[in-house]
Amino acid sequence: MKPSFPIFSRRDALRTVSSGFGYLAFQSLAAAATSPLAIKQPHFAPKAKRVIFLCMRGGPSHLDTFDYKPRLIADAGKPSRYAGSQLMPSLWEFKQRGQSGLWISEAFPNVAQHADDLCLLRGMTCDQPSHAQAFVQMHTGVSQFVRPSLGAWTLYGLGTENANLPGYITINPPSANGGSQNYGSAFLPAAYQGTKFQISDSSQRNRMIDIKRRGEVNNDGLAHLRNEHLTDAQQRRQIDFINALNREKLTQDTHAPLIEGAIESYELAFRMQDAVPGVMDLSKESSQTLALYGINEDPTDGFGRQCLLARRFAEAGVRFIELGHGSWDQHANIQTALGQNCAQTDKPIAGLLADLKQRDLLKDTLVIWGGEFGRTSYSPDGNGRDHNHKGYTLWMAGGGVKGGFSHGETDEHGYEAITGKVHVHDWHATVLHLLGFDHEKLTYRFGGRNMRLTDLYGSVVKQIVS
Amino acid sequence: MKRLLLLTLLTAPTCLAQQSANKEVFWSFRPPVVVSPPVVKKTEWPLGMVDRFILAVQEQKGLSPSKAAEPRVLVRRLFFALCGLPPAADVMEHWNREIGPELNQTAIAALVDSLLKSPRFGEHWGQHWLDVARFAESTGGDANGIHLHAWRYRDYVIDSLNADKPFDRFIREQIAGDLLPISSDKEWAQNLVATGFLAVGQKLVGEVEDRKFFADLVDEQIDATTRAFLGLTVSCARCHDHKTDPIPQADYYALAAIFRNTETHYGLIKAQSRQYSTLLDVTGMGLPAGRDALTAQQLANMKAEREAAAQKMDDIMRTIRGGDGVTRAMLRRSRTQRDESEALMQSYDAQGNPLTFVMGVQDRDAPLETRILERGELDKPGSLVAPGFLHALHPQSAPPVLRVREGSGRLQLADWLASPRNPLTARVIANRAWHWLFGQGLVRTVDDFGLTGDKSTHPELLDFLALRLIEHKWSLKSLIRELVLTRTWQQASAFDEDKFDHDPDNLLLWRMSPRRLEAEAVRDAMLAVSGKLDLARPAKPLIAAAGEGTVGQAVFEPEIRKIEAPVRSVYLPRVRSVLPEMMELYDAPDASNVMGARETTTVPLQALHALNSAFVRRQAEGFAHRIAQKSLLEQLDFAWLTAFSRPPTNKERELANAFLFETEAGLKLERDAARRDALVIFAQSLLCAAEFTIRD
Repeated sequence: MKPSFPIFSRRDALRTVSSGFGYLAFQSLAAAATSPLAIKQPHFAPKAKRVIFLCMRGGPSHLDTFDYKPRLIADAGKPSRYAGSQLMPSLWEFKQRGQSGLWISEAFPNVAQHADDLCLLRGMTCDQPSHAQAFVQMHTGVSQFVRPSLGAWTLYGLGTENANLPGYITINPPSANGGSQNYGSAFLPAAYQGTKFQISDSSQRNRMIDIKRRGEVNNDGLAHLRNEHLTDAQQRRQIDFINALNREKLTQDTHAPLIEGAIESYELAFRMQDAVPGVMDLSKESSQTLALYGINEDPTDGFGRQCLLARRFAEAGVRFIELGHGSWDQHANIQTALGQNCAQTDKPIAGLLADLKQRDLLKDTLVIWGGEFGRTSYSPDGNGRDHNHKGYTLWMAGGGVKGGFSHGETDEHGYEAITGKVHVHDWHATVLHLLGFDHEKLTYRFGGRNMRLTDLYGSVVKQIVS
Repeated sequence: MKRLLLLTLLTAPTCLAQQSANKEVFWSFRPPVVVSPPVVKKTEWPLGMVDRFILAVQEQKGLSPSKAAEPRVLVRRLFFALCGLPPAADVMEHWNREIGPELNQTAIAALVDSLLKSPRFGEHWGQHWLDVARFAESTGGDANGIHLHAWRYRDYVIDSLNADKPFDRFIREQIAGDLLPISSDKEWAQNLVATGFLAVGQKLVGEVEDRKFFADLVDEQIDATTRAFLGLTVSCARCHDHKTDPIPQADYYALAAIFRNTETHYGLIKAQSRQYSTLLDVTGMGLPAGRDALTAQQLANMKAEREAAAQKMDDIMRTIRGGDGVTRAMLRRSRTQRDESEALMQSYDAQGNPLTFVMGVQDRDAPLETRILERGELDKPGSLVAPGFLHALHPQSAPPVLRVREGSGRLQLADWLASPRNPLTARVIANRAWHWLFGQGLVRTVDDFGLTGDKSTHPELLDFLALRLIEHKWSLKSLIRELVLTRTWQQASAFDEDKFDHDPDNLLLWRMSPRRLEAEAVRDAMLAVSGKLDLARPAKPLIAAAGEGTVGQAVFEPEIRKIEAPVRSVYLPRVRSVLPEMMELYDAPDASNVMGARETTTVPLQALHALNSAFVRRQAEGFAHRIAQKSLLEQLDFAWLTAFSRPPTNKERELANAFLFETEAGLKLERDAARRDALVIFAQSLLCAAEFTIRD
């Protein structure tokens, strides 16, 4: 049924019973060979062991950030190929950066200092210029059907390295644009779905918006992680009692995967109560580190916290971490709005890259930055850009990609990709490749077909692999 | 319309039918055949025909059935299987005595009949059908717009199951209720509600291109209809002939021709989503409005708001015409406010009485032609196609010619689906009923009876049940009654190593497979044992508290999530992607697809919720309060009977007493308070124990 990774059959479950129940119940989850989250070997030696996806929802403008178009500056104000609109030059100055001389704009001065680690995909394309469809496609490959997300496929393929934490964490995902579909496991077992963490910004204004959109956020990032009524010791006693009852039931029934699963999950829940606040607690980080990410500073605090948590999760063995920031949907007022977004994220992202590097984690952590599409080279009303799915930029760093490298290009005005086109399916194939998978062979049987992330498409962009 | 008929005759691809007639016809496309139940050795075991089919295969394969379940296990099983709720402790003991260790079948039948008569039955089995019907109260997809009127379809399903509406009638109403003969306005309005089946699917209402949106809407309707009633994935043939099943692309477009000539009324307003439609107004036809009338003051306020919003929009337009600009955001916001206030106003009459709206479908006045689309691409239209059905289901004869004299052909489609001669319909629903009762279908892939689906483990039994259903006038209650009154269903769930080695997946039904309760039953059971469950159906849809609009833009997640009422879970708001917390945690489907078989996952977030959430704590307090009413001697028995439908074992008594003693001692409170608190922690532990959520 599942050619690549057999997971959890009843027979396996029985074997764990006969090999001693206590082992399964009290060893770490990952150590139990039958766990769907046990560590698994990919198809070939991986370049990246984990992913940090900096998801910029709304469609950030490539033309003002990472895709330098001198002709757009020269032709500013000329009519565009679409009636009634004019070409709009970048509002930020571009410069060559680092040894590699990559062109990056002043919108990202700090990220630009890491130019020699960045691999720009400047010929990205997707199927639709509509937010939700493109957003869902970016996460799951298709927008018409409910399919597992990139993170779920990653966890399905690799398992997790830390049995006390979820293997796939998504911080502040939007409830619109497909909502939980974007981190769901669809037909894959639910163990592979992303666990949603909610992190609040320290700025009062953003906090109020957060509360309106997502509800009151606690410091754990997860609901129900603490008990308001019981001390740890009392709860430990309670869990011992619950599992004593469960074991009683198990002795009556001998073979009962449902009960074994429950015993295991109460133990994991108890460990998570311990482990999650520890990972979420930034108080032990040095003031230099906090400063590196722009934490406790305006306007970088919110995203800085997310980035630092991403590093902490990565260190702790979480396989796939997604961060959310937005909206980058600047139809109007682009100078201020895009400027604010960059100001909020530039330093935290640069801090994350620097921190991963100094801890020697960047070499096997794939960092991805991008949104569901880019923006148009023309402006409908002179101060904003519309959606553009025909050519935009996404970048990756670390995890086996060439640094200081640019692949693909859009035409002289940045309307659409002309060389080195990378469709979302190709990008997915490439990410899986970096994680050690042949994207055509990482499959799961569903609805009579061997389903895969890339459907029937996708080819690996070999040129960017270091 | 004559033109349509002519086209049918011209384009009917007969060659395919001939081809497949020559090959061996796939089992599920052949009509069910009458088989006399097989002879068995152990003649004293079977109670009826069903048992003989099961036992015969077991005897053939060298297996034997398990012993009968304990009466208490059976009573608990019946309560959860038929009504989705646990038996109260005293009710449990009553039926335990009535049924007795020898399993008195007359007493069991009496219990079954009383459960089938209970309104709780329709709420539980209605949820099963709502899974199949991918029911939700929002569009899902990109711009997730709230459907404020979808609840009518939910209540219709519950009422239909309670009334034991013949399943063929149930199909006709859902596919073509608007076209059925009626004797009153009310009947028409009710039938219209049934067609909500076609309107509640997932829709991408943010789609820019109208043609694509419409093609996707039709595709979703084809997918839901064929999967729900036929167990076939016809929508695979949108782009090319089906890869595995004998469904040519032409058949897909023949169905598309029917749905393209159907107008779907799902609501939403222009200001809130790119793709919007009207609702059907059935005011004065006898359906409940589901909303309160406005007071004079509310009406006046609403009018004032509408006027103000309209005025503001006029001012903005004047500014623009005068040559000054306004920001795009302001223009958009003002337009939205104007349209929303106008729409709200129009949903009441001049006196402030709410109008009654329904989601559903109607035939299109002016028919649209339908062409095959090469690779499913809208820009590559091919030859014309007339409305029609699937040729695969008529392998031996010429394909049925759909004689559409008027309308879309939807009524004929409904008749074709609901026909006793359709080889799939009765089999698929009989198998679904089997799945819901036994935990797995005779055909495991309950939504896929095609070539990629699993074969039936008991093909003759499935045919027997399909024919039986038709013979009993498509009564689901009769079918359910027959199945639970079998020895097969009444077996114990005890493990047996030899039999397990032989048949680990219990394909041959050598025992009852233990199951985790469905999400709804987990929550409802907690409310039931706490004594806080409110069994009344909410008079107004709960989702109305969050309001109308797009989730994340006009309606926010916290507003939806904070809606909480101690009603049965089937009545909770069902917003795609924002399911109620416990529904999400315990694997309720997100209604993106027809879902006849749910997942069962055990994840630590369930444990965290059970240990630490305010909801479970409240239920534990209620449960503890009920336990405390009993004398000390009765407390443990009452607690166990209520939570697990059985008295505790001696070992469990010891564990419980020790736990209560230690917890009380560790609480550092004065004695009564400590006892009270310890009892809450104890009661919560029972809610957390795996057995609470398992039915054996």
